[in-house]
Amino acid sequence: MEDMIILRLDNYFIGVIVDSIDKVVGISSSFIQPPHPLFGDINIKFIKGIVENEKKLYIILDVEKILGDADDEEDESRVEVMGIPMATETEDEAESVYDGDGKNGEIGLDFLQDTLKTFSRFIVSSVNRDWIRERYAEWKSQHGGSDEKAQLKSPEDAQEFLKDFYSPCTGRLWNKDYTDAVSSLLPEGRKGNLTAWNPGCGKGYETYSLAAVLRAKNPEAVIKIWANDSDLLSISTAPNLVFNDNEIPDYLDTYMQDTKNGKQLNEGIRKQILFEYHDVLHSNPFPEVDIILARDLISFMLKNDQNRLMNEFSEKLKPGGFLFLGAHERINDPEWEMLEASGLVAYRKKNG
Amino acid sequence: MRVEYINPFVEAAFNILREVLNAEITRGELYLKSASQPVLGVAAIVGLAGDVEGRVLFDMSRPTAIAIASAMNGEELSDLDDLGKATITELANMITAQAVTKLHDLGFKFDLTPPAIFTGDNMEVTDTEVEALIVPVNLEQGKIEINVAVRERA
Repeated sequence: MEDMIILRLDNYFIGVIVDSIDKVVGISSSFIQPPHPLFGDINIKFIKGIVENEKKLYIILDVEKILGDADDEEDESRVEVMGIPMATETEDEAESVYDGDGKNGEIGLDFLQDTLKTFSRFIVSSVNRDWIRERYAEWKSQHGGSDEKAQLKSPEDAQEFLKDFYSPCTGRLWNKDYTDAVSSLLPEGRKGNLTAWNPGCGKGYETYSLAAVLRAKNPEAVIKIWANDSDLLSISTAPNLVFNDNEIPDYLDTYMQDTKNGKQLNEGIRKQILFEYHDVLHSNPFPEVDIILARDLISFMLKNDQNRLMNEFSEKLKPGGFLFLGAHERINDPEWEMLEASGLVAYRKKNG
Repeated sequence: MRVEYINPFVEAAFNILREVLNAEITRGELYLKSASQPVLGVAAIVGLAGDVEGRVLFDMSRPTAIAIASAMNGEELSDLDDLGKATITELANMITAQAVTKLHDLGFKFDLTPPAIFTGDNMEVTDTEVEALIVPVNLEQGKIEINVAVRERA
């Protein structure tokens, strides 16, 4: 009787006869770290991760890459948001992942992508690749210019790396400059219904800011905003969010009211918004909307989920509707027209 | 699911179960489910109408249902007989009614349908375009998953 390992690869079961199985070690996936540049000399593309367990270092092989169909792998590497290339990715760039030989300066970036995913759940794709390249060059020069020293070693490192990624006024009410930029791109004087969807709204700061902007520009419209987040703690805070005086930009003063807990947006603004505990990857019953505000959301989703979500945005947005992504998130798709105002980029869904 | 709806269901489940079972209970992490979900074996369902449309499902294994019914009736039931089913149905009704009362106090108008109970193996529930909030409750008798799927009426 031989020892055998049975592997499942998609719908296939593959039996591998081995000399012996020493032992089976159970490992939590949360302990798996990305491979280190140290392994660059031995074909890195076959290593999925490493983990330390009882003072031993285990190397986890990527069975799909070792045994998978080479054609499938290539196809998968080309899956991009909206099913077509986005931003400025070229086929060469798509193939560069894990193919660096340590001489072209790419391997460090490839490792960094893995660590960002592990430590921050940030997924590098064509949506954010331009920013990542620029940021990595800057980060590398700040860390002695070598790929090895530039690698992220902890979640804190990853946060530091990403600190400039987030959009302006994240986690607070929009300031006047940002509000003016958003306002200049939005419809004005609308009558009838004006609807918006704000997935990943967190505690609701940006939702309230958007609601105030829409109300100021469209005093006669019936405004409805669906705002949702899958972080229960954050979204539970949103409906009754209170503000300190020093958090409130002057332009919002007219919409504020005093309550026993502090200042809140007035009833008129709050009634425009429906905060929901909702996972954006699940189906939803929202109707078509005029505006989608999804800043810094899709970069924290797996590539397939990014694809799904962009398709969802496309389906849910009315022709001529506006999509706001994060400050460093870009799409390059003929369906969308890029708009720019005071450094703010948004996209309008083309008619038809 | 609208944020304001969550706490009333969690609180009502906690209050009623602690009261009728006279025992400590603990709540697991709340989470969301979409599409088809397996049913553990016994499911009491209460429909909701009014400002919303949807339903609440109280899902548990058969042994858990028997143990809860036994505790609530103060006698050992050997199977999920008519008394047992009526007891679980009543439990579902009590929890949902208290949640809806709390929501009425907050200004939301809900109506309930009479509860129904399903028992069987290999069952699953599917909600199209409504994701479900799952409130896992751990009891001495086992685990109940309170599965709330409601959406605003268009």
